[in-house]
Amino acid sequence: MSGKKTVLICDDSITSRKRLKKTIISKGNYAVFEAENGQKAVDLYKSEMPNLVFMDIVMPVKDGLQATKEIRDFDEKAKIVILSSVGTKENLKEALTHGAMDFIQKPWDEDHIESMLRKLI
Amino acid sequence: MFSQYFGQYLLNKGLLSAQQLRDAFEHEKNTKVKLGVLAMNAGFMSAEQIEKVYKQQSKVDEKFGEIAVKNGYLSETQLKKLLSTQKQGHLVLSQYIVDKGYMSLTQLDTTMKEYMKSRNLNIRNLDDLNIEKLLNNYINFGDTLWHKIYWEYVSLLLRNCMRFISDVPVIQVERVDEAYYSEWMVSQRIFGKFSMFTSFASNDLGAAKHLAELFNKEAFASFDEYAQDGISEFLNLHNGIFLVNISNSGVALDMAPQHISTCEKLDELPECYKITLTWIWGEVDMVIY
Repeated sequence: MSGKKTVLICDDSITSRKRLKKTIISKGNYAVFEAENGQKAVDLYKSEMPNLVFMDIVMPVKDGLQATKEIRDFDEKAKIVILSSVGTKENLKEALTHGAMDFIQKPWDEDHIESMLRKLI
Repeated sequence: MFSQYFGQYLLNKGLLSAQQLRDAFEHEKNTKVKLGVLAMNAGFMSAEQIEKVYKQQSKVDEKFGEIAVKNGYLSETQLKKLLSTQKQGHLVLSQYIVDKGYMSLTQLDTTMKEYMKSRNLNIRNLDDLNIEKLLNNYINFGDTLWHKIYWEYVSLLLRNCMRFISDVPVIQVERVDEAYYSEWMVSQRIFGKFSMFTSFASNDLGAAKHLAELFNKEAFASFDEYAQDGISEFLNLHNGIFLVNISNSGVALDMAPQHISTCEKLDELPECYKITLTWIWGEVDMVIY
């Protein structure tokens, strides 16, 4: 992983993770970690300290908003982008309150992901 | 789209079975020329412009012609000309129905006239048809408080089928009065100001696999974990967009994670509806209550 910037993808959908991972890797020298729920994302964040997190909201065990809060409590400089199909005003507001830096509504496009990577890490 | 609506009419009238309609659509699909190909053939658009429109179509809820005009690739006049050429696709459907002996020519002609009259259509305004009009004509969730919500939900589903899998199904709505059984199901509960159970279910795993392949844009060897996850994600995406639309009218809702199950049996539920989605390649149910 040395020299590579690291990204954590947290989404309960295997296909969503796979598609996002493929896109991220195609955009540059990135290493990707994957978590299928909010709790695993918190644990992985603490052990790997990734440069950026893409976080889904609706997930089993622990949802993405709670995980975002816990990661930001642990590391106030954590860079987290919410990536969810539920882009309601309420969720957007709550995500930003919990410390997320941006919100992308699914379905995302490659250009949007690339601009986040370039802007945030 | 005329054949889609006329086919839906024939199905609802009981004049064609779902299987006969699937066969007819399959035949039509193999014969009908896409608008992009027609535009290229007429020298109106370059292959590069057509590719750009196809790419944009996957991102927005708009038709090929609308995007092409918006981008300045086609003029309104050129679009009308192409649509009138493509419109003849319904003749392919009609010919097939007669050739197969599903209906006689006279019967088909009478039915077509009845259909056009009942929808206040003539050959000039066929393009005015849209999904909302289609649903108004065929979908009735009864005289209940849920009618409008279910209607919005199914209307969005059809638009999302066009947007994410580029294939709009013919639909049949049936109230589930007794138990509903399916070999495979993915469900997701919506909750908040009201609660709603939503699901995709199937007894035809080949059709379910094909739906996943269209959504994921990749082939699966079997209806494996990845294929199942694909349909699950389609449901999640559809519900997410539904929640955003509903929240724009001031109703805040949330949703739970999806749940996949096999050999699922739902027992006598109030206001439960099965919406059978029929494509050329098979059927998948949506069950909501």
